[in-house]
Amino acid sequence: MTDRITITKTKTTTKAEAATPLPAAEQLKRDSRFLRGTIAQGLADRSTGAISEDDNKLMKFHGSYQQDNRDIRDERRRQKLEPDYSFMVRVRLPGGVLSPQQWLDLDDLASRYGNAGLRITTRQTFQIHGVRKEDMRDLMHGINTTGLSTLAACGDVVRTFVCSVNPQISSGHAKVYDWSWQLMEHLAPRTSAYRELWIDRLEQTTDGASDAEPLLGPTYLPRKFKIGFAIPPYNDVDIFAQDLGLIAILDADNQLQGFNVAVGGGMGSTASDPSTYPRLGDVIGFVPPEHLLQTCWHLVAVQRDFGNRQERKHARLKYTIDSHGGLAWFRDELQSRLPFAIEPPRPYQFTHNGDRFGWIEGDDGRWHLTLRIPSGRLLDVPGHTRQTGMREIARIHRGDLRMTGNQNAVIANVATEDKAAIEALVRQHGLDDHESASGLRLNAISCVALPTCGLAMAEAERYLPHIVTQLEQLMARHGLQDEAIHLRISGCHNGCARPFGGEIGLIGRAVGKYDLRIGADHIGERLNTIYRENINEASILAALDELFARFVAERHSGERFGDFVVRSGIVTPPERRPALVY
Amino acid sequence: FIEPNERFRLPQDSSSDIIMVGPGTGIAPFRAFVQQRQADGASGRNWLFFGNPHRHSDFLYQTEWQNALQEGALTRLDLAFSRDQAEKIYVQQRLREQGAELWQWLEGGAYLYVCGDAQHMAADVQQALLDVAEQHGGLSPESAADWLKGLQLQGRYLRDVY
Repeated sequence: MTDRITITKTKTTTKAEAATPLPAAEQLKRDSRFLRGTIAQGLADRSTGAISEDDNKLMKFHGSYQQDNRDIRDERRRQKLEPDYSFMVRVRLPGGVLSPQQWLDLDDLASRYGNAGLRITTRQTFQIHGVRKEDMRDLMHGINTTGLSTLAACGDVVRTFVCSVNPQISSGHAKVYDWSWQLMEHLAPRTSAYRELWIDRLEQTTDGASDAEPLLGPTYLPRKFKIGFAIPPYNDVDIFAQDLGLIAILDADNQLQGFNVAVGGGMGSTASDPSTYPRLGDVIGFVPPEHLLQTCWHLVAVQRDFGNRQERKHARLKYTIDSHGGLAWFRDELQSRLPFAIEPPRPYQFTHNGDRFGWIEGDDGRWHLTLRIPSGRLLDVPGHTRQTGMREIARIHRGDLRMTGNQNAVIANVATEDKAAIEALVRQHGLDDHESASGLRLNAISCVALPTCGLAMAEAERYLPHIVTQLEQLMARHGLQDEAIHLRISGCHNGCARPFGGEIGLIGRAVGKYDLRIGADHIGERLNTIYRENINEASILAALDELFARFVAERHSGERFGDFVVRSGIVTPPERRPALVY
Repeated sequence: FIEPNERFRLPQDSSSDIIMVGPGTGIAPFRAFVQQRQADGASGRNWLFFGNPHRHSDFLYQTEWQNALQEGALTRLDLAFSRDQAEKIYVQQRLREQGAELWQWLEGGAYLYVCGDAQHMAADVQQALLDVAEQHGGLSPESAADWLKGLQLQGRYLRDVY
């Protein structure tokens, strides 16, 4: 019965769509023979380190895209050499969980083929930068050999899944993590192009005649689709920033009852374009576990059918909802495709969207150590041999490892008798920042930005250490050195470091210039508000200097900075649903 | 020291095809050749063989060659970056790989220019040409040598090597 409904909907939409010619981006997907394009030929072309623009769009679906070293762009042009092209490869890693052996394999691959260690992302996975085109096949093959993948890590698909690392409720985490794997496989692309290119490494791909995409269709989704799982009370994945957020509801015995379904979150906007905006998701209902896969399948199908394919900057689910009649419309459309009723949401509460550092004991007596990795960058620097240190830990560790949504690393499931050995390595390799760093420093996150990201307007990762030091000094002058303010820096308005959810958010506008946004909470349920636009560092510090002074003078006992600036009326929080729809 | 090479010139007839073998610094005159042919609106085709250790840092004038290919000023480009893979690959290997097409161009009256290292490259390239003549022209080794000499006498096999 469900299948019949799906087919009917698709036919109706296709008829309507047939009247409008497909935009180039959509036609490219349709003509690509399920994501093959001319990638194989492009990889073989030794006259350039690049692949074609079209192939690059398709390459994203395989988990990679082409970048160049922007620091030396001008120099290369003067030398009449093409840009210093390389590829970024992103691992598909639901819930950020991997085994010590997988860690060692990835570390080895990154050392051989990448140029900057491993980079933990804000969605709990790894990126490897600086990969030469000639090495792409070997790297991708190597990642798959270790039991991981890069499929659908980028592109117009359901992306890698996030899942609270939740050290405490170990059995709960295990169950929810298992569901995240099942759902990932249920919604994944089916094309055999991935196998042809990276596992079998065929010199020429086939015509894909036997491929089909029952859910995604030959044009896949209109845009990226991010799904996450959260286990209250910890919102370290920023569940409401996902297109689809699944909030695990556990009963008093920590048994999984089901999931609240939140839809329509998404960072990302175009600066100075009010028809684009960040949005937090809204909870529309609850489903028991046995209905999870079916519900999500049809939910993604609604976005597939109704998402805007004419204008990519209005294609995310948040715009689909807002432009069609809001949550009621969406809920009705989804319900009409399901053979069971979506139940009313169940109560839940989140208390924090940062990470909790140090050792925490799980409910099964095993231990979890959350380590601070600044900007998620695993590289050896003087005093902090983080990449080597994690490798050494992986060599002796008998549990698992988890990346967090705040770019940190958890050594998970450590037996009590193994703690000392791990602690020793942590100290030896300077992985113990969490023991001495300020609250500001511990919770600051940033995207990669320069030199590799082609979209960056300003520095983020490379700027973070400096600006944090400046802010620490400023805060110390106000006696706020222990205040754990959440600072998020993104190089542009695409918002990959979720800057719209920072108590202080900095968003790059131009070299050395940022938008300053303030007033988000520390739970992930309120976005921040623009405070100053396009200002330099001196102005940022001056503005915060004034704000900190007021904060100290007027705050309620225990009140957080983000909450204070809202309560005191310094900024008005954004509307939960933006008034401006198109 | 710069010495003039009076005979290392483009063909008088711009409808003639040209084949340029210029690894390393030998690429220098061919830049001018291709620019000149483009400026003259020459109808003849242009084929360049280039080699150097690494594509990433040693692909001399890369963006110019890429533009020339796109604009049609360069018809074919074959590359050999010797250190970009486990086994060393030089321009002479590309000449052999493209032997059938190369033979066609030469039989059709193309001019062949070799510029660059005298010590190793020039001899290796010459041997590759002889091998192409034998394999694709069906010539015996002696006939191939005669053929090459003939090309030289016709002024269609020109070298600037140092």
